Amino acid sequence: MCACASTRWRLAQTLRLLGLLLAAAPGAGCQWDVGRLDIQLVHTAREGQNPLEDIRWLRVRVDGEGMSPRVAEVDASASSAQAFSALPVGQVVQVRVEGLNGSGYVQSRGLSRPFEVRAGDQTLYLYLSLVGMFSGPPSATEVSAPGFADRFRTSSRTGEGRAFHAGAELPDGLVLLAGGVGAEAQDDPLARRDASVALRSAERFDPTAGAFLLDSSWPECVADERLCLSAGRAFFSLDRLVGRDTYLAVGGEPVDSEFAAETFEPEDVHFFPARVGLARPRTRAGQVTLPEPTQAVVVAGGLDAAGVPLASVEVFDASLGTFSEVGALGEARVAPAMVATPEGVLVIGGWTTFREWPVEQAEDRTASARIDRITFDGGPRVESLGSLLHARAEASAVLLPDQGEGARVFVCGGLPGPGDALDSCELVDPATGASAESSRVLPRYRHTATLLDDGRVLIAGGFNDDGPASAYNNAQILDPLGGRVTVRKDMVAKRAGHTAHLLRNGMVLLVGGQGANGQPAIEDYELFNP
Amino acid sequence: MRIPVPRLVRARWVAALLGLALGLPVAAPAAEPIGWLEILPPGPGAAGPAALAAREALGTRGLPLLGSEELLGRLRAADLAAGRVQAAGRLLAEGRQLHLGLKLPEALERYRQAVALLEEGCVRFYEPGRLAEPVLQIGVAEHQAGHRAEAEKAFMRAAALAPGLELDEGYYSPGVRAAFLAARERLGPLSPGSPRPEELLRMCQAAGLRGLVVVSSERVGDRPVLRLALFDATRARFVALENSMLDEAEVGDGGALLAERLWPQARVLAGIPEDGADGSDQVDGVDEVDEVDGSVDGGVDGGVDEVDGSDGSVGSIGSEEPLAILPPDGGPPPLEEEPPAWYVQHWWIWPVAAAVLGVAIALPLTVFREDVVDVRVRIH
Repeated sequence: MCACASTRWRLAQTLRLLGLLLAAAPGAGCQWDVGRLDIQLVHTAREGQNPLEDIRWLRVRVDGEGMSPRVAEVDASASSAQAFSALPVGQVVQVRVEGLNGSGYVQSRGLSRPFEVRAGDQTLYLYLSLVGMFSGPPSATEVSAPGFADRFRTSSRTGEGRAFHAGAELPDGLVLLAGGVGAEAQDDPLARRDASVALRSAERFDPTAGAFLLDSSWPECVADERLCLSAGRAFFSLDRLVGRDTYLAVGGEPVDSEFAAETFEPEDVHFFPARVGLARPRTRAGQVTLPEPTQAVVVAGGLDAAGVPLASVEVFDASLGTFSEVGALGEARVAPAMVATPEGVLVIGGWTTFREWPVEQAEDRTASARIDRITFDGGPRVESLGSLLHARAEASAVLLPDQGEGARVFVCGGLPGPGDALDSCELVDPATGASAESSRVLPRYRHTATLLDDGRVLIAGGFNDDGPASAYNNAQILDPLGGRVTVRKDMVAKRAGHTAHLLRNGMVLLVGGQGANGQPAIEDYELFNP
Repeated sequence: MRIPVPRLVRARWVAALLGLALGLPVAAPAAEPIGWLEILPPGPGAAGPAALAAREALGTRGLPLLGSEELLGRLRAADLAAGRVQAAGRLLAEGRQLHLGLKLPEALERYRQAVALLEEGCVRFYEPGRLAEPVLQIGVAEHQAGHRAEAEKAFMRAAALAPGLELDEGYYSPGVRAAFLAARERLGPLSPGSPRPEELLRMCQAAGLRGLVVVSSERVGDRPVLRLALFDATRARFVALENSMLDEAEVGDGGALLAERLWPQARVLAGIPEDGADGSDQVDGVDEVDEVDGSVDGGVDGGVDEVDGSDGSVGSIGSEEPLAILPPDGGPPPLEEEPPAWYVQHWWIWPVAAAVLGVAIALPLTVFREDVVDVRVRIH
C-alpha cells in the first residue's frame, strides 16, 4: 500500500512537471544559438574625419518589425564587444550605431539598410561617419562578407570616374549609378558626343557599408556582362516607374534612335533595351517621373541628333510601354530643371540657344526664365505658367514640403547666360507660377540640391564664376522655409556635374562629377551625414 | 488502443521496470534456510511448548530452520560487520561529552544520529537495550532543554525498548528520574510487538534467509492462542498465517497442528519438492502460496465471541471453519487474492506518460524552437 501511494505521488509529481513544461514552453521558447552576427564598423581614414576619435561609448540599436528595439552600449575602446544575445534568425532588422563622446553627445552615426538575420556567422559592414560632416569612403581596400551574397569594394574610388551620369535608388536600398562621361574624355567632355566617350558601365552602392559592390561592370564593360547599359550614355535620366520595380533610362549622348531608351530590372540586375524609344531621340532633356496615379515619365526639351534644341514634350505610358508626344514647351530649351509637383510638372529655365562648349567660350548662349507646366487632368497638356525672376540654366530645383501655404519649388544658382553664375535662389509657387526671392548662396552652377529629411536643402559642389577650372569643394545647407541660418560645410573633393542621392539612412551620397582644374571625371565619392 | 507487446511483458515487466526506476521495493536476494523468530511474552505458559512442538514438527518434515538464537547472532554479526554498532557507540560518546558541556542541541544531534544508525540495522531485536541508551539520552537532553513533551516521548520509547530499564540515582537527577518513571507508568504494561514487514525483510537480508516463521501468541479470554506467520523475503510480505487456540493439556498437539497447516506454504517457500504420493501435503485444497498483507503484530481483539473451537482453532488457512480473526491492520482477509496494483492493472498509463513526456520535451524543441544569434560589435 505504501509503495502504491509513493508511486502515485511520484506520478502526480511527474504530471505536474509535464504541465509546467507545457505551460512554460510557449512563453519561454527554446532558443538555439545558431550563429553570430558581427557588426564590423568601417570608416574613412582621412584626417579629421575619424568617427571613432574621442568616442567613449557606442550605442547599438537593433529595430525590426514585430520586435521590441534592442539597445546596448559598448565600450568604444575595446577592439570588439558583445552587444546582444538571442537575436532571432529570420527577423528583418535594421542596425543603428551611434558614437557618444564623454559628454554623452552623439558624435558619429551609421545606419544599415534592412537585412535578414541568418543562421551561421554573418558580418555586417557598417559605415560610421561624423555627424554634420562629409566623409570619404572606408579605408579598407576590399572586404568580403561571409554570409552575405554581396562583396564590397571599399576604396576611395568608384568603379570608374564618371560625370554627367545618372543614378537612382533601388528597391532594396542600394543606389544604381550608370553611364556618364568617363575619365578618358578630354578637357572638353561636353563638346564630344560619340560613343567612345559615353560610358556603358554601371555599379551599385551599398549605403550600409558605404561602399560599392564588386558586381559592378568595372573596369570595362564587355558585351554580355551584367550591369552594362545597352549603349554608352551620358546626360540622360534614370527614373523608377512608379508602382513597378523597373527603371527607365531615357535619351542621352550619343543621340541614337536605336538606343533611345532602355530599362533596368533590379531583380535581374540587368539593363534591357526598351521596345519603343522616344519619338524624337534627344540628349540633355529634362526628365521626371510622376507619382501615382499618373505613373508616367515625362521628357521635355533637349537637343536632337543635329544639336538643335527641342521644345517637344513626350510622355512614357507605363501601361503601354510607349512614348507619345503630348505637346511643346513655349520655347525650345536644353537641360531645363524639371520638378513634379502636386499641380503638375514644372519645366524651369534652361538654355534656349546652345551651340559651342565649353561655356566660357560660348558667347551666344542664352538662358530662359520661363516656367512651363504639364498637367494631366483630362489628358496631358502643356501650358505656360510664368517666369523666374532671373533667367537661369544649369540651376538646381527641388520641391519643398507643403507647410500650410502650398508646396514650393526652390530654384538656386545657375547661369544667366554669358557671365557670372547666379548667387540667388527663388521660391516658385507651382499653382500660380509666381516667384519670389529666397536665400542666397555662393554663385554656382552645375551643382546639386538635395532635400534632407529635416526639410533643409543641401546645395553641394558646382562651378563658380570662373568656370570648369574652379569647382567648389564646399556645400551649403539652407532652410528656405524655416529661416534657419545657412551652414557651410567643407566637402572631401571638388566636384560639379555629379549626382547626389538622399539615402534611406538619411545620408547623402555624392558621386563623381568634374573635378578641379578641368578634370573631366573623378572616381571619388563621399557621404554627408546630416 | 493496445500496444502489441507480449502479455508477460505487458504487465509484470513494465511494472518491474517502472518500479525499479521509481524506487519501489525490490525483491530480496534468495536465501537458503528459513528463520524461526519467536516473539512470546516472558514467563511460563502454553505458548512456549506449543511453539517448540511446531518447530520440531516442521523440522521433522525437512524444513531447514534457523533457530532464534542463531538468527539473532547472525543479525548481530551483520551489524558489526557493517560498523553500525561501533559508529553508534562513538556518536553516543560524543553526544555525552557535548551533553556534559551543556551543548544540548549538538548532543541531541549526536544521539539522534546514533539512533538512526542503529535503526538501520537489527539492534532492536537482538540487543534492544543498546538502542534504548541513546533514546534515553535524548529524553534526558530534551527534559533538560525544557521540552517536556519530547522528553516524555523519548522516555516512553526507551522504556518500551528496555522494559527493565532503571535510572541510576547517582547519575540522573531526581527530576529526570521522576519524568522517566511517569512516562513509563503512562506507557503501561507492554506486550511484545512483532516487527513490520520491512524490518523482517531487512533481517532476512542481513541473515541471508529466504523467509521467516514469526511465532507469536495472544490470549483470547483465558486461553492462549498461538500464531505462526510465514514471511516470504522474495515478495517482502507474509504469505501464510495460522492461528490455533491451545488446550493447556495438549499444547503439543496444537503446535503440531499449526505446523501441519503451515507446511504447504513453507515447503514451497523453502523450495522442497512435493512428494505427491498421497496428497497429504495439500490442506483443504490450498496448494499455492497465498499472499497475506500486513503484519502480525497487535492483538486479536474483538474476535473472542466468534471463537468456535471444535478443534481449538480460532481461524486458520484452509480450516473448515470460517476465518474469525482479521489481520491486525484491519486489511482484507488473508486468503483473498489481492488484486494487482493499479499501476499493473493500468499498465498502459506508462507508455502514455512516456509519450506525453516525450511530447513535452520535443514540443518546445520543435514548435517553439527559436534560432537566435549573438550580436558582436567589432570596432577596430
